[in-house]
Amino acid sequence: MAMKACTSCKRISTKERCPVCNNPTSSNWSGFLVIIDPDNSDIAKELHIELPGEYALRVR
Amino acid sequence: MEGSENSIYALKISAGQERNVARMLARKSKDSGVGVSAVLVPESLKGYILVESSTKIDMQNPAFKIPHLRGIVESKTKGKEDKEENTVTFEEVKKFLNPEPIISSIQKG
Ligand SMILES: [Zn+2]
Repeated sequence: MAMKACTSCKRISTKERCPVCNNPTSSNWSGFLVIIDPDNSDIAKELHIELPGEYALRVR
Repeated sequence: MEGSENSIYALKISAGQERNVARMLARKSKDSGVGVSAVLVPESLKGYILVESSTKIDMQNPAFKIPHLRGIVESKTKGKEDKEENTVTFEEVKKFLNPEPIISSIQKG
């Protein structure tokens, strides 16, 4: 199943629309990030990520 | 980053396996309770992943026994006191987090 990234929140899923924010997803993305503990992550804070999960760094 | 105790370590990965290792490491750290809070795979850094952790990474921990994970990047200058020598600064990591310049941040001269 192809992984797609949300054009808004960059969360990765296999859906046509993001399961979290319902915006369209794109198969044109790069960079990969797994957030395990957003409350204790400087990276999550920097990117304003509040939910654990997989994210792209750049989505077109 | 005010008051954060986290450090970021670079791990050496077999080329092409970066995402797989990142996913597996995330799953294993969640289960084993090591202090890993995020795993980053910058596209421009082939053969490496970056791991944010609140505890010093112990490669002997079962959480880090993962195929294609080849080891931690040790610094060339091994300091006696400075335990954080083999970490990556958050400023360096930021460059990978924002791969595209943001138009609004360009200063108007
Ligand atoms: Zn989204």
